[in-house]
Amino acid sequence: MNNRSVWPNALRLAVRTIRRAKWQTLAMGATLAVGVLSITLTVATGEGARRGVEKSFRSMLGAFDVLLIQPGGPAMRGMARQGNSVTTLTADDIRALSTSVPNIREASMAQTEFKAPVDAAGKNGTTTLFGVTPNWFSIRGDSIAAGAPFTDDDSRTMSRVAVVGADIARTYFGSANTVGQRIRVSGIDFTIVGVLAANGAGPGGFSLDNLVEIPLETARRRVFNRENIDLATLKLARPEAWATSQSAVIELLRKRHQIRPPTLDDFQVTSPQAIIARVATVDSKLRRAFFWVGFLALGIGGVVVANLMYAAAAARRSEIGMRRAVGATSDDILAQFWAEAVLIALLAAITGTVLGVLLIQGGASMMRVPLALSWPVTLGTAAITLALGAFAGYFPARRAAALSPAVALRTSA
Amino acid sequence: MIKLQQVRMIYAAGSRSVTALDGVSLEIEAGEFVAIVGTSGSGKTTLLQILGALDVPSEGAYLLNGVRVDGLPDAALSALRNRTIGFVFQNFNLLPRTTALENVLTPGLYADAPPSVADAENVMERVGMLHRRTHYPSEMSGGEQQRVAIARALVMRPSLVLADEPTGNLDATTAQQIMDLLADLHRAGLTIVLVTHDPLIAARAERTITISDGRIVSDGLRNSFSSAPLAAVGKKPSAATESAS
Repeated sequence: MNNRSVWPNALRLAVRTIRRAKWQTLAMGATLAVGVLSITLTVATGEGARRGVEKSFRSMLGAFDVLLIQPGGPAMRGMARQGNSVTTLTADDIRALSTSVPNIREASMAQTEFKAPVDAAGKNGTTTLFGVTPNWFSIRGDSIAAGAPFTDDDSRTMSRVAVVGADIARTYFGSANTVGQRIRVSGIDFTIVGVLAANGAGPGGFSLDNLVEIPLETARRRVFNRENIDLATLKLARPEAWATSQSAVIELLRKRHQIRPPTLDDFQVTSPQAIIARVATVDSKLRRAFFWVGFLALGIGGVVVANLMYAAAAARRSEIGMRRAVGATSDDILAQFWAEAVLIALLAAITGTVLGVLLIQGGASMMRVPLALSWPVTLGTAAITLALGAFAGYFPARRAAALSPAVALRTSA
Repeated sequence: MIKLQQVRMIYAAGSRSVTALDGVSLEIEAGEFVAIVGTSGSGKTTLLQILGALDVPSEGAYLLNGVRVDGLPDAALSALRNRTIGFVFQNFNLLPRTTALENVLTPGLYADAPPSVADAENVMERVGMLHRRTHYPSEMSGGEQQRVAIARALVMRPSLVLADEPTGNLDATTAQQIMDLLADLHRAGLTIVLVTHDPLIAARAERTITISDGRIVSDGLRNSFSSAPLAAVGKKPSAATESAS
């Protein structure tokens, strides 16, 4: 009796068969590879979309450890309103919140004007004009690409200084040094003291870089001539307690505005955390769907492998008979056919993964599709594919091995 | 060398059972050249498969070199086929897309002590196929393929060569050349048992066993060939056979 292991032969023969029967290998492996590819890609688009959404919200909202307060009731809900007709929120409201709600560390306020006319360096257009408290930049986490933000002194003295977005700098001043240039907004001249780093696109795809920011007091007295606030950003000391703080803010504002349900609020308090949580919920459902679609493809791939292996075992009866006649044990036959299936699955897993990774990296940089590779999912998918190949290949291999040599030779002649 | 005692082989064919061999007793000495003849369905291939340890009899005993073969586990039967028996098939049974040399080396995959490439080339030379060693079966004639198959049967240095209609797919001239080769191997000391339905091929053997309906109906040396009732081939089954099935 011999004690040799059946696996070295099985692997050698499987490699040989796969190399010599390329089309059969392709037929068997293609579905599996497509399954791996589709899971890798769908998860990547899901992950990319999630990161993209998060990034665009972060760019628009600035920080995440804040509460945002806007005037206007739920009936006027909207991320960015194209007008400032609601005048119910005042600087006093915000100051009262800062002193009464313990979790609020700092508050910044803004007055805004959409489509403010701009005139600079011989060109003109429109922009969004923000009159903001100087702490606006630090609370939002905006970074300044050139120059410096304006200061509390600038605001107190109603200085005509401005910080401009990257689009403004590019559009009006091109490659020239923007800091120190003059810009006329809403008919008033400002000196540019700083340029913001580019933020890219917001959730709706609009640019977050076409803006001019001036000190709040300058805006209030010199530009808008009004008291009401269009947006307040409250920085939280403990961001995880945002829900409690949100309730406290709503309660105090209702008291100050003398609102009792069922009367609707004339303000809105939003938490970026809540928005992101909502986005993440939708996203995780999408990802689950993507995952099952890919899984279905893999399942079909497994069935294809099993079927083609059964067909191969039947078509190769004479080979099985011959091998048995020259000394192959039934374990040899089992190992040979099983190794073929596992090896094909391995090739499919590698092909699908490599193609997926290449497409993700190529797609993320070349096209402007948000794709992000998720290594745990990719490697997990490859492992599942391998296991699937082993499972799908085992039963046909066992049938091939169970074939009596006499029957194999008789029916193959 | 070979001893069969009252071997019966019964197959299940649907709900019925078919008796392929019906009490066959037989002895073949080492160095004999035996032809088993009979019509198709007579049981000759079944007999050869039992001799080749490809199948195990339903009843009776099979001793090869004094060892009881029936009842051995699969691994032992496989090792026996690998070391002791060389097979030659009617349809050559070479692996496609595989060179002649690789085909000849196939039994080595399943051997404890595989033959070297030089060993394989030696047997290929012996069958006159060394010049074809890198060729694929599709590039060779039937006679050449059968020579390669014979080299494969010889590469493990078996003591017994079993051939099932080895000339069945060959033209008459090539068939005689293959028979010349088998006769040479026999002269060199190999025991050869071949199955054929062709009396001209059977005539090349020393001894002819005629089988009909699962029973041996004649068994004779070539010298006494004329006395063996060749006419029995293809005759209606005897009463005894019928009652047994």
